[in-house]
Amino acid sequence: MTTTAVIDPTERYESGTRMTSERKQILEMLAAGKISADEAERLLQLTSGSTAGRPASSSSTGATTAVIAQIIDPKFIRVVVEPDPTATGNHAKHHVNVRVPLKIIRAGVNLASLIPNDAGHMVQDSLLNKGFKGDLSKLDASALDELIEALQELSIDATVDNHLVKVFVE
Amino acid sequence: MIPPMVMWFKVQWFGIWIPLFLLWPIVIVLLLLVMPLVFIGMAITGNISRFWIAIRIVLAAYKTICATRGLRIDIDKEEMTFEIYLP
Repeated sequence: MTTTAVIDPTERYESGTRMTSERKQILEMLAAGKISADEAERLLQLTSGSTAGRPASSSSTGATTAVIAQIIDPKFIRVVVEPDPTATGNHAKHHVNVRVPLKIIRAGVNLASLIPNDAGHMVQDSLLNKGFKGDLSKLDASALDELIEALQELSIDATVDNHLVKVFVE
Repeated sequence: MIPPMVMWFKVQWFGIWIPLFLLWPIVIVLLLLVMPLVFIGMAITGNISRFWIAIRIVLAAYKTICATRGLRIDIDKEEMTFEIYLP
């Protein structure tokens, strides 16, 4: 009678060291396109201390987990405007740094969903006058999750009036 | 969830840390004074069901205020400086 050992892919050994759940998570994120190769390399470097044949220190593991959590679950949306260093001529130099917690979006939508219909129409009309053509009443929890998920991949780099404009989540 | 306790506010050269923690007790006291009146008013007008909506709105507003922690706005133009920071 022979027995066949079933090896779980998650428990395979790589270069004599066990692939930790963190390394697996990083590679899965890279495969899914959630992080770039550079970010994956940075994260793997952080985990290298825990997979180089010595026990993981709590500080390195904690740092890696924090970085992964930041990438998976960004907390803020940032808008940064800086003068373009390559621009020539004498032009106005503006600096803008705005950091908005993503929690505000969720909390704001929850608050907006409780607004009575008659008041909601007034808000909608006011937003329409300001140029916002969206319908807030159609923004429910599932749509909000999709919106926040889409925001995680948001990264805008633009040059406007001799200024570099960056919009990203962190 | 804890609301922001202080706020950094700066316009031009004038900057100040605003102690929001002094504001919240006043807000709570005002709410405790107003909500019974709202409840009585709604009971008289027959809209008692709306009182629970009012409670939910207050809680949602509280969550929104708490969510503002971490908000930072720095604007530095040629002749104008404006900063708000809620740590």
